[in-house]
Amino acid sequence: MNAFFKRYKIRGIYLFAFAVLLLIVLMTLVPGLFTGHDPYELMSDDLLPPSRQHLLGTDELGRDLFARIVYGTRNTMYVGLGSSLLAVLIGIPIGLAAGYIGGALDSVLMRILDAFMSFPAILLAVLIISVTGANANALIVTIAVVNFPRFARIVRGNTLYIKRIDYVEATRTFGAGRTYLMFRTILTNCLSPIVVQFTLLVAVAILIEASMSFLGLGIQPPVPAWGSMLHTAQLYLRKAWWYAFIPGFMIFVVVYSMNIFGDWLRDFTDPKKRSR
Amino acid sequence: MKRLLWVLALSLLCASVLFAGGAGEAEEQESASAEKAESVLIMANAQDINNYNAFTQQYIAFEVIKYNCYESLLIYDAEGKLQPSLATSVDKIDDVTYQINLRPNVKFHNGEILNGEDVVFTFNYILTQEEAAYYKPFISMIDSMEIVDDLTVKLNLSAPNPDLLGSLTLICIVKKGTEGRLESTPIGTGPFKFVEWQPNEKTEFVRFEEYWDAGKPKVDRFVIRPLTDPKIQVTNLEAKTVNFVKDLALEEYQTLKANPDLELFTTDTSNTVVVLEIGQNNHEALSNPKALEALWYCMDRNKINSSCFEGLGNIVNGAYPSGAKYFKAAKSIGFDVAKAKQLLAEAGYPDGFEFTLDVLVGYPWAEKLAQIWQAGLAQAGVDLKIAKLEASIWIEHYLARSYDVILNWYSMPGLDPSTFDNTITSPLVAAAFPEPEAVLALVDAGKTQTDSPARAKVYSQLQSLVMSRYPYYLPIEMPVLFGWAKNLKGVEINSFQHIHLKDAYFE
Amino acid sequence: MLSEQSGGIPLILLFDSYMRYIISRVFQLIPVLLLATIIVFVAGRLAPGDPALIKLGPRGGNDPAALAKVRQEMGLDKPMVTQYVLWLGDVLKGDFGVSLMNGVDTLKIVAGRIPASLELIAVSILIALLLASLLGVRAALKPGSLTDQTISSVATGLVSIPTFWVALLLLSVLAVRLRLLPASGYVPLRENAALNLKLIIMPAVSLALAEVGVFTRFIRSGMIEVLGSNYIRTARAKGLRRRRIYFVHAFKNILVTLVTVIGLEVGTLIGGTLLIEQIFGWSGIGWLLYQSIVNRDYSVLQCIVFLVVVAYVLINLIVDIVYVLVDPRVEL
Repeated sequence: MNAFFKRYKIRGIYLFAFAVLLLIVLMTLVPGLFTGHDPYELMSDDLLPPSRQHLLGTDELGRDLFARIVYGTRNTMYVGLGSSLLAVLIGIPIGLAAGYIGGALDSVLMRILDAFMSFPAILLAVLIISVTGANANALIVTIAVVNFPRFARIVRGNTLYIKRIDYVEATRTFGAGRTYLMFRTILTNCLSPIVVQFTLLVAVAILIEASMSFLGLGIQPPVPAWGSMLHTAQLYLRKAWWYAFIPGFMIFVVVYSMNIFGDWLRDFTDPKKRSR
Repeated sequence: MKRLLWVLALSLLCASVLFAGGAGEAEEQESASAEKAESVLIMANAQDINNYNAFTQQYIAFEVIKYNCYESLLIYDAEGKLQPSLATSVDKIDDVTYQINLRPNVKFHNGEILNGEDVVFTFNYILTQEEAAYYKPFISMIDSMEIVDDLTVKLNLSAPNPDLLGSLTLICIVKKGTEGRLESTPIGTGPFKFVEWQPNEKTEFVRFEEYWDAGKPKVDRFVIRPLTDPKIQVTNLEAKTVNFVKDLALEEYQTLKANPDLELFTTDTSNTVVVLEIGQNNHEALSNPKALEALWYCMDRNKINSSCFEGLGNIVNGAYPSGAKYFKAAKSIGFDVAKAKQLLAEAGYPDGFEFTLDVLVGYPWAEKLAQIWQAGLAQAGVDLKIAKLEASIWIEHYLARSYDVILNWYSMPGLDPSTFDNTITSPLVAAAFPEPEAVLALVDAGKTQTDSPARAKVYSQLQSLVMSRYPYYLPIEMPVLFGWAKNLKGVEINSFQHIHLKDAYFE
Repeated sequence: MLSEQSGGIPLILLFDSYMRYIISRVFQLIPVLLLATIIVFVAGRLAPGDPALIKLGPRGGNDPAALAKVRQEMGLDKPMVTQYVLWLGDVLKGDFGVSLMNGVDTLKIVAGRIPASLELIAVSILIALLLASLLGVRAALKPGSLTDQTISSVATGLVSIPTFWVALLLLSVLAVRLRLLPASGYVPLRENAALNLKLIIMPAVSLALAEVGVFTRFIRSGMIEVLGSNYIRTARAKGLRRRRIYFVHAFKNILVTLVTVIGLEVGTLIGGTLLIEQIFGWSGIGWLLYQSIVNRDYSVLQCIVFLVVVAYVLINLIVDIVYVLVDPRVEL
């Protein structure tokens, strides 16, 4: 067992992160496993404290809070994963093109990326949402736009690095086209850093979604979402403090686990450290 | 180095604790001595006022200035009875002739004296100028005016106006010649004289020493602070940096009630009501009264009352708020999903349908009401989409009547149903009734007849018609919550949420 | 120092290449700034909602003539490109127009709210630095130890905390339950220092917590590097007092790069003020920004974002330049 842990570099904290992520996956795919209540049903009195019938109490309209947390996982992960995938899909070609082709294209792309990065993340997100209106899909596009520049830069950096090393090799290959070289060779070499970055991207995306929903510019009630639950909980800090505590705690735990998972992936795939 | 950091951290902690303890006392001493020196009534207002012109400013947040800086000819007191203000009396000579008797020696803030010319000027301005169009419907029946003498004005109406006296409580009298300056400097006859406006900070008024009601106002200064966030209004009220708040967040009702230093007051709900306006032109199912009635059966109004209004609202069944003259109670519609399903089937929608409710952003009670209705509708197979709209988009939809159903609310400025008709009913008649001319004729008849059994009959008919075709629906009456410091006495608030502060004082 | 490291090349020539770097960076700034302002402008105009309607309200908005007049006053009837060029021209003169909500000069409104946000950010950075120094140095003393691992996990944890959640918790416990602090509001420092400090504690701590994580990681790795060099071995040999001196020396070495990290985090902090200020009613530009978005007050919105972006880009520029000047290892 110890050898297994050592080989995969698993320490205590990583186990915790894996467990949480497993829980999240289950909550996303089979919420019914966790709760029998309907997150939309106004079943009881408002703002009841936790009890046998309602594990975490009820919200301001009498809906079961635990059910809303569980079903909220799906919406949060939808936005988190969706936006990160989109960011990656946009970021990879741009980063590759900028790094590999270089020259004027690189300058122009870099200036555009810089322009986007000169906005603090939330500011840019708020700006875009005010144009598109607030819903889950708009949020996916928005967060992707906010996140892709940093990602594209990293891909570009990796590309430059690999280009330098493999340049000589690349010129020797059998008349393969530039695009083929770009995507196949470089991408496969970049893969592990990209995957690591992806997990960190998801963590950031979840935080941004939560912030936007908290401002009232994200997922709208009655659709359950942790950020918007915190938005409503603000009004009831006196009556029901747990309403403010629990959704935020979920956000924290998921983001934390994602970050830890990303750290582990980085340790695990880092060629320098692999021999240890 | 580390030790240095620890020392720094500890000293910061100590300093803050000392500050926390000490500063509190210093604060209280300050405010206590300030009160001995000068009594200041500080009111939190939901909006910053940038336009002080009584003709053009329409925000509700401006009303407190209308009655305490400016004044009207008559006012409603806390019991809802008409009282003299700038007019000592208004005599009805006959159905179409009224005489206004002005109070003598009333000074404006700029020193000039009020006389009949000012009254005529004010009314003329409203009747002729575009920008004052809001007030026009209230006095549109004035045909001509005569200045009998300095303190007497005669009004000749083109048709009887049963609510003329009530309308006179809404119009501020402006000194002829000052109308150009009013936007930046209000000049009225009221107990408080304008001092200055610091944008987003405060608007300050000082006691008008030459106010016609001698000995009043009793406080020295009146300050309005724009605090848009309801939470902040509450915390300021509790911290005593503000001693009067209108429209407190109802979520805080229970906690504020328990606070021994605060006095809470809810106005009579009978004239402020939630209005669901139906765009019958825009949606096939919504032009079917049976389908509409099914929608009302899906609304759990008891839950709306308890969740949205802390149980302080009042469930109405009728075409007007219950305080309106000639109000006729209609049949009660409770929360009955089975009945709703039956009605839907009868109307030809056994599988339900889908529609959108436009809700204005920033009002938690409205969002909750929408969700409660949505949950009920879902049980009957009707899919409600809630569209939360920012102010300008909501207004756009409202004016263009491009909504399916829009959530609005309305506070009647008087007891007369004609005011409700002017604003709410008339614009919706064309879309809802197959023969709109007949209905509009009834509305007009009600507007122009004097109080009599004939008028009662008109309104009885009108209300039955409305409840048969539902151009709009009134689910519930809303409370307005006021809060003030317990040592503040003499604040007069009538059932139309008009605030009169001239008798206010600190104990 | 510079000429030593360059291996005897005359100072003037070296300075020239630094100048060239600086100038080229400044030139690169301009298209970035232009693009950024275009993004702001376009977003503001594309957003649905008519500020003329908001200004008039529902009763006034009924009149199309009045609406047209207000729209003309606000300059909303001209084509986009013209509007942008006009706007940019004015901005360069310092004229951001008037607030669409209350007609007051935009720059004046925004400038009035900046001190509050600056104070909040400054205090947050201070608190974050204090805590991060404690944690980071402790972790760096014994890299790999249990203490180090715990602190690293805590740092990661802090970066993962939603700042507004912390804010709500602090509000709930300290203000609502225990009534130790006033819940919200703002009072300028000059007016009432004690109250100002009482009010700033919760928002500053909320903002600081996320930064503590970032700073801790950075201080830790910086200190490890420095301490791992010859200093610490000699210090250990020579005794306690020398150790303290070397600690101070070590800290000074990472100080400059620490400043650059702070500069980079300013963007996140400003984003944080958008969330935190409205929870605590702290009258800074974050809250003003939120209100301007909800009210579709284009003038104020554009002014704030413009200033924020310019500030952020300038800070990055300064950070880059300082980094290059001070750290000899970085290539031009």
